Amino acid sequence: MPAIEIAINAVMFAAFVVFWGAAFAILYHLTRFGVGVQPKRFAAIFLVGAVVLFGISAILFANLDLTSLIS
Amino acid sequence: MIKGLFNLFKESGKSFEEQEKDENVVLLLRRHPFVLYLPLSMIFLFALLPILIFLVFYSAIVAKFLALFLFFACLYYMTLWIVSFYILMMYTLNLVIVTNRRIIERTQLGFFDRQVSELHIFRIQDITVSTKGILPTMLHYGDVIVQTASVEQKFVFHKMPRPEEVRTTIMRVASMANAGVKDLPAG
Repeated sequence: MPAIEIAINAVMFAAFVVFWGAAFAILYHLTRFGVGVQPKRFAAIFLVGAVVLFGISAILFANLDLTSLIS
Repeated sequence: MIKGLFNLFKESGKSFEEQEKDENVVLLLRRHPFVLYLPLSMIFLFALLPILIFLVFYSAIVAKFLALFLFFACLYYMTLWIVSFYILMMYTLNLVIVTNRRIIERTQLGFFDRQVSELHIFRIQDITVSTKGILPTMLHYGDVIVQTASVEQKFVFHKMPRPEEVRTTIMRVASMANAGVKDLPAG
């Protein structure tokens, strides 16, 4: 695997870690500090959307042909 | 178990951290939803951007970069998803809780940065409602200013929906607390 391909994979991994870090912070705040039912509903919708978007982006990234893009 | 999980999303008695024994929530106030309309409509407009780019550069994208374009569009939507729920989080966590004993104002300033102020109900001396402008008048929202008996700073709750009703309810709770009546039905 060329060095640039490893670098792209590392950048994408970091981006996903940042995404899930921010997602965790939002979920934590909504469920821990939210009063009433509205924050829990927002947290559930957010979690479903985050999982779906992450799944789609992971599949799209796996299908990317990095070697042809670099060349 | 599954039924129990879904019960989370049913309307229930409002409880909160630091709630004292025999303390009942009378009002749970958040800013008028109108404050969300501008940022959320901006997010909606930003969400249209990849679609517009796809339509404008359709032939070039389909011929060469379809997979790459879809991937970056997905990353873009992930960012918008985080930003929009950050806005919703800030909206839901900035609230005022009126109980039969005190008024608690929670101000969320960002991730892991919040202020909690409280005011005992018997200290309330005067409540003023301020509705300025066309939109607040039409949409029935305004500022509720609670003046206390001591030299403490006054509490200002900004952009509250139906401020007149809020004032009436708080005054009713305060007069009942001063008269020694224990409970007020939650509303």
